[in-house]
Amino acid sequence: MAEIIKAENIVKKYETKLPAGLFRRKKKIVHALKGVSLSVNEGEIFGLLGPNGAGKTTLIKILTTLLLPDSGKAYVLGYDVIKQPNEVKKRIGVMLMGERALYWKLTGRENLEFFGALYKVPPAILRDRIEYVIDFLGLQDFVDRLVETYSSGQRVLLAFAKALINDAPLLFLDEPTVALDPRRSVEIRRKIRELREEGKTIFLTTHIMQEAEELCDRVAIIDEGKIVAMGTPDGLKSALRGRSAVEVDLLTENVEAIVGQINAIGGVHRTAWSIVQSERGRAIRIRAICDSPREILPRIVEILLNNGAKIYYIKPEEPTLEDVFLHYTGKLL
Amino acid sequence: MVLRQKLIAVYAIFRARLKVYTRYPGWLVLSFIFPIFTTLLPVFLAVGVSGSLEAASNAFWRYSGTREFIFYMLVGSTIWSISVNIIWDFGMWLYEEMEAGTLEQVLLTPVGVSELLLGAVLYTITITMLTSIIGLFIASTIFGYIGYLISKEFIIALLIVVLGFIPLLGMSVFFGALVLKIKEPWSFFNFLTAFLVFIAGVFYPITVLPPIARYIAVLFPATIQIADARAVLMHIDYIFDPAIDILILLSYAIFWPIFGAVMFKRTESELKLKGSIGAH
Repeated sequence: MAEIIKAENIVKKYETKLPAGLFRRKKKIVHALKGVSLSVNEGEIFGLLGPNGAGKTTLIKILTTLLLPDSGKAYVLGYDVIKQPNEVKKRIGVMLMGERALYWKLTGRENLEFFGALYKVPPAILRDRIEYVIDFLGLQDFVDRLVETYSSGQRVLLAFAKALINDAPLLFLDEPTVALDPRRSVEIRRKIRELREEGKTIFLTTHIMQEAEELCDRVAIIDEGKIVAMGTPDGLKSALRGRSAVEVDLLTENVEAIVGQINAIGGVHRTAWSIVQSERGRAIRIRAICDSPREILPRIVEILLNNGAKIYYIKPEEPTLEDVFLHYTGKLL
Repeated sequence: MVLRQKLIAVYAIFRARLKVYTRYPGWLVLSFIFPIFTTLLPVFLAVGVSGSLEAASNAFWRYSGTREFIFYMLVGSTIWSISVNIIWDFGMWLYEEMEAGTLEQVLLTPVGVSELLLGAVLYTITITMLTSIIGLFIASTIFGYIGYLISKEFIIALLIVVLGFIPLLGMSVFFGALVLKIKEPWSFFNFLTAFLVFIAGVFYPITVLPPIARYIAVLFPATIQIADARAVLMHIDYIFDPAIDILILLSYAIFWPIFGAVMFKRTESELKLKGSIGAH
């Protein structure tokens, strides 16, 4: 299978300046990518998975020629992103994060016409392509209204349509469902699968584990600028073969102490916590990877009760990509 | 085929900007009235200082060789308005795109700087030429100078102005690079707009300036455009003589586009490395 994207040891640092007085600025170096290498095969959906600030958008911007790396090489469809940016741009469709990627004083159709012309799609083909994209994504009801009147979800759909306008063989989708309600997210995921069936290769970034698991043929897990694991979702989960996960949603003020105590239980390999929006409101979620949940569960409950935690639920689960992430980084997304 | 595709991209940018412009009707109406007000301000100042229109005309004649100072200023302010708009428009457009978040989207497409510039500036040239010239015709009719405009000299003056567009486009690319780099165009824009009024002889001949300022004035293509358009229309002095003036404009027409393109490419690469091309 042909390699559509190949990145070799990409390094990217940003210099940011923080105010340190009226005229003084303090320099701060941010290491966004620390030697990232990966390859994406033709016809696959490849997911780059990681928390906010992990380096996902930086990598996508380098691969789409918006950013130059400090070192390393990257090839997209055989073209060097540094030396042949125009050849790359002609052959990719890109949906960067956010609804601001559109002209709000133009209608959806006018936006598509505008970007189609910038992609130099011949006018006759462009007309047909616009109709196809409108039909494919179901934009008929709002495409002739000014974008400023759109809902958030409609703008994301139009941004997605824009990425399809030049019928590129390779699509970069940066967090395509981030601003969408569950119904629209499902719809977008279905469309992404359909595009893969049409033969397109899709490179998408996400921090939603379920999305990556459901959509991607292969995923790379990125954290703090480094790829920590790469493979098929099942392959990655096999690293946790024989292990299980325990998930607890609770309210407590002693989360650090609780996590420390759970980690100290024999047979618990990794434990981490995050704040989540549960059905009962904001809660703390603790997830532990362990050998045998049957033995571990009562001991976890005991620790929680000893620390005065209010437990919303506790349950054993099969390992997910979330646990793979926890396994490799010691953190939850 | 390639040229046709480029022209389609240029036209798409022009058309999109025009559509946005027409969706603000107040903006459309005011842009026709604005050139008249810019001119009336110094006219009334001159009348106020001199005591009467006749006294102002006589005083003006001693410096400029013409008593028709209202028309003199009308021509100056019209060309100044067009020039400033062309110089700044590309930069302002880039800034607006940065602010709106669409610049990265445009830069993701295989469209070149030249197409971006031409598309953006084609809109500006069309709108400012249209509004400024209509404004000039309205004001000239009100003040009784319409005869100057219905003549073959008007066409020659227009050609001189158009020749000046080439270096102005180069300057526009340079200022576009500057805007991408400094991210805050307004202070520089305000300074340059006022400085051009002062130095380019918009409302007075540059001969009233101190000698050093006269030499600086000639460095700006707008100074030559304004002086020579007036010279053709009103039969007064050129800056040097017609041939030398045109030669200077032509040399600027070579220098500025090359300089602008080099600076833009350098800035674009620098910002791609810094990762701040779409930031503002």
